[in-house]
Amino acid sequence: MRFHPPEVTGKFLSLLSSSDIEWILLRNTNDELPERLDVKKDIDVLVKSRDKKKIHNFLLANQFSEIRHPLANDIRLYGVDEFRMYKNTQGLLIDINFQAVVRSLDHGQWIPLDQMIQGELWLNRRSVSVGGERVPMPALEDMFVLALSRCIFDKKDFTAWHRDLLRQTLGQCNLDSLVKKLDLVFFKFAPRLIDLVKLNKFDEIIPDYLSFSDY
Amino acid sequence: MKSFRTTSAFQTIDMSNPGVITLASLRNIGPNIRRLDVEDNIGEAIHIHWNNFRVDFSVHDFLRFSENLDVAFKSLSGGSQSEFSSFDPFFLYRMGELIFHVVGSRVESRRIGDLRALVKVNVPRLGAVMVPRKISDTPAYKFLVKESDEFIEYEQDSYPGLDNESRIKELFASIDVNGYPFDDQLITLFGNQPYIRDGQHRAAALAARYGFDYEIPIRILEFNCQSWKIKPFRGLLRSIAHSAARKLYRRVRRWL
Repeated sequence: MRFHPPEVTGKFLSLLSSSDIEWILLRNTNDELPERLDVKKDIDVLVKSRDKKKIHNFLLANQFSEIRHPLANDIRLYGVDEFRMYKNTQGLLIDINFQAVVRSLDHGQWIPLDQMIQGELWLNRRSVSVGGERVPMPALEDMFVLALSRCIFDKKDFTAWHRDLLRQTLGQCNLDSLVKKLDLVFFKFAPRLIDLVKLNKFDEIIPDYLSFSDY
Repeated sequence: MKSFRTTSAFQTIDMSNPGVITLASLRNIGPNIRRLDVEDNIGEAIHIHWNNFRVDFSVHDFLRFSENLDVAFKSLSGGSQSEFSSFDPFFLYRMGELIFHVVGSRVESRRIGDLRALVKVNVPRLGAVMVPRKISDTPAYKFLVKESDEFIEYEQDSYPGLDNESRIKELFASIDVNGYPFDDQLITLFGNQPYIRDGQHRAAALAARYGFDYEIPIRILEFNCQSWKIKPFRGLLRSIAHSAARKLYRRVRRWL
């Protein structure tokens, strides 16, 4: 496995942090940033829709060029903006989303999470140290909702890293407010979902969700 | 898939449920239904979309509603529709608007070996094509006589929630216990074509049990339109022609 040099990933995070663009680093799976980002993987960045032009110009000014997004042909519903992918001369890939989205279960179309979740992502973002650089990331509660949604809808699997993240994050969240937020994605399954995470029964989550009928 | 939660007189917030599963979807059935979709929005509601209307049900209410529809359907008397009470609901769903064109139904005796099944075949560069096959060449028959396990992975949608192996084994056991036809559920053909429209697995199980010379009662439906006819080879030829045209277009573009 080959990794991007940390100075390349670190430089990108540092440049973006010092810009006036509103952004959030959506995830740092397996704590791969800045030192262990596989050369085939990208950095997932959420940018405010109104900063579309700014991020485009910013990336072009920093030796990135826009390339065709691998999911360009996917169907996007309910006003999800097109995804954008940029690559620099060292091969670093940046995946830009303008909304927090998940794949729907039926035909895999991309749909946005509830607007309240989108709004709170920006309101509650926290500054996290990634290789010494302070970068904006989702608050723990939002991180929990995003990670759970991603595992169920996009990946249909819970990796060891996601299990650890969900367990640790749950312990630090306010359960009432978390249920309210999960309710916007999982509706009446939300309380059961939290119970399953608490009980560490990750393998039961997807089968339970798909067969849930108490609503 | 989408509902609206009003937060004030002037503001609405979109709420979309990513956990949506389409249970059924039909277009242009008869004169009054342009769109009919049934969706399970997990944790939220069952939605029935009928043209521009949407009706929300709890799971319990939806099940009661479908039971009531079943009772209403079975109590319809007169005309060919009373025939449908013994049909597999999934087959009726796939018939779609053809239901309105049924003008007659009769039961005949046929040799299993004379029936043909429509089997999905993946043709390189063309994708999936439905091809008529003898019952002896269907994945279900080959699985039952232990010639091939291709059936286990064969893609089909008629029995959601039941894997192919369990389904065919259950059917085989049911034929031994209940005989054929059970509950008036006859293998069904359309018009003068030998293609099985409902009951392909029953035919495979009967062939595996009694052989190809065994004669069985089958139902034949007659229609007052031509759209029931299947022209499988025409479909295959059309796919080949499309593929050739695409290839030619690419070559010409490159040359230009």
